[in-house]
Amino acid sequence: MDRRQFIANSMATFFTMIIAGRAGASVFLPKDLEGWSMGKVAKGTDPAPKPEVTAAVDVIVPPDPEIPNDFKGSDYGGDWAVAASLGDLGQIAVVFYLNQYARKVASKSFLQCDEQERIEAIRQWIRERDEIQPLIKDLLTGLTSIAMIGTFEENEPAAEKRLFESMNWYDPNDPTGTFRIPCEGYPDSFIFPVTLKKGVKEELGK
Amino acid sequence: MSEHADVVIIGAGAGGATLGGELAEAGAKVVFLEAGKDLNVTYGSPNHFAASQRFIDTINDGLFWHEEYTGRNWRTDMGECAGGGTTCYAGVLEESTPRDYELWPFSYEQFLPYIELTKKRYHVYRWPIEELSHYAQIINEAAGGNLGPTQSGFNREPYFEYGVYHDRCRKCRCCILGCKFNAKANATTITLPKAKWFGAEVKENCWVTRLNTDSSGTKILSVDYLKRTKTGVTSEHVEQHRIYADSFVLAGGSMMTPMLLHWSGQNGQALANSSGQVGRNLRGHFFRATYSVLKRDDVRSYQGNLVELNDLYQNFDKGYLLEFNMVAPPTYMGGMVEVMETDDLVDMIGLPFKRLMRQYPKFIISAPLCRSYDEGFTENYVLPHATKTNKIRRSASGRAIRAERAGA
Repeated sequence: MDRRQFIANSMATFFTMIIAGRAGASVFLPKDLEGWSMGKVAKGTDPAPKPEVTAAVDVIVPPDPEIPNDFKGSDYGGDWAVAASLGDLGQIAVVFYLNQYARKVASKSFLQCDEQERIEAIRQWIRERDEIQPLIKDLLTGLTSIAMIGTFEENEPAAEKRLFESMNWYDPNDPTGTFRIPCEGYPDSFIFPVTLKKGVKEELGK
Repeated sequence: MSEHADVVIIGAGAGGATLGGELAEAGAKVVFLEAGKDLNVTYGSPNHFAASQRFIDTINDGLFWHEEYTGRNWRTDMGECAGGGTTCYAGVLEESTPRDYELWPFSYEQFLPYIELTKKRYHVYRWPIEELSHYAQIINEAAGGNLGPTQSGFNREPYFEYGVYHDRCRKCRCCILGCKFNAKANATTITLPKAKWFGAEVKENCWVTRLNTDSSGTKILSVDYLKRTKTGVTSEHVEQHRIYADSFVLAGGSMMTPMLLHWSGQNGQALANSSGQVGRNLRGHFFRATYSVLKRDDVRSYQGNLVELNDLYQNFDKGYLLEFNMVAPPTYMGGMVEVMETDDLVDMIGLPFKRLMRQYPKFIISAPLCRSYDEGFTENYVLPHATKTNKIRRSASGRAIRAERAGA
């Protein structure tokens, strides 16, 4: 690892630690931590997605040519969800890596790439994910998984229903079932009532 | 303080309790030295379920006791109670095969009569797949008809034996933490009560620290053990004891047995280690998840059904280990991204992944017990003083990214 890579990785690690709240710098986290969760967006107070993030979300969740008028990731605000989850500095780190891998595969910045080159840059990031630092890998995981569905919580009910129907997640017999907590409403199912002692919780990191 | 017995059995788990029951029935004076608590399951106990919750306490205590009082950097995870790991397993019992005995000094054929006898003692049999639940059938279909081969330790019919009532299986799916109806084959409620019925003594909270040999170093004369007189307190509540016996049985499981041999011996030479094989060739618990998309109608397993995976291990059906995915799409996709092989994810990212997620209601994760002899188990071994390694690694977001699963 050369000096430039070391500095870049260290910075990204620091950013990611901030995102995880481990550095105690909650000022960089989304504004209202109360009730905050990955993918939950409050447009107007949460950071707006940077163009690179929006572009990345759109190639990760592209419209399906076999489905008429299919949506792309940013149509339902997947880019806002990623931005809200990562925070400002997290976005900077993601943009840094998107550009780094875009230069690696196409010798230009991420925004200068076409869609094929953009997805190839993300693929390259994935190819190297087992070698990079775990915290940087987490940025990738967040980007790739949140992009798809991250906005469900803040969409209007009608838009949410459209999204769910498009993804086949909508059950007309149980419209609230998709995000139900395990076993909710099923009398023959229950969670085993065992509480772990404090020491065990610490041991398990819970 | 010294004592004497005909046979001292170190460890009252599956091996020790089974043998102890037979020896006690044959008239021997048997003493068990058990590191954990004796749950004392007898007729009149509220139920085995309550005893199992005490077992959880046992685990909690056991996590810290060893290091505090022995100075050895080792901890136990499961099974530290009278009955051992049989107290908290999912009732899934794999069939052994001749290949399991390749590294052993006796053959499968020699061992088979004892396997059959043990199965009879524990009321173990194989539950036909046709009698499993509807959802188990779906999982079996998703797994390509590859459930098992397993046997079940769950009672079809109730019985009463050695002062303990064993109810029939009610499919409450809590077996991993003890059976509410005492319907599961386990040493706690089957063979230990039998041993006690014939006069055996279980010394609980006794941790063996050393096997003492004669001057030749070939015959064990006594063992030293620490008896904890109170849990979770200081070393003032630990007593040192020594017990003599005509025979000793070392049945401390795959971890404690080799470690105890490592700790014992003379002149710096560990016991029974001339082969260099003590504690080696450990094999992991075979567990292979199958991610499937069903061809039939939506199952929507995340909405709950008869064999769903909850927070804990309710993922089995009469001895067949099953697993249903039970998470909403965001969690599922995050998990998929992390568990998918990198090469597969490279191919999937983008449109294929989106198309896959459109089939989410048909997703199912099944986990049939699969056998694999390709794992490099010869590389696994027990160290005399192992370090804490098996920790759950966590990602920056706090989510466990690789949880080492305990055996079912």
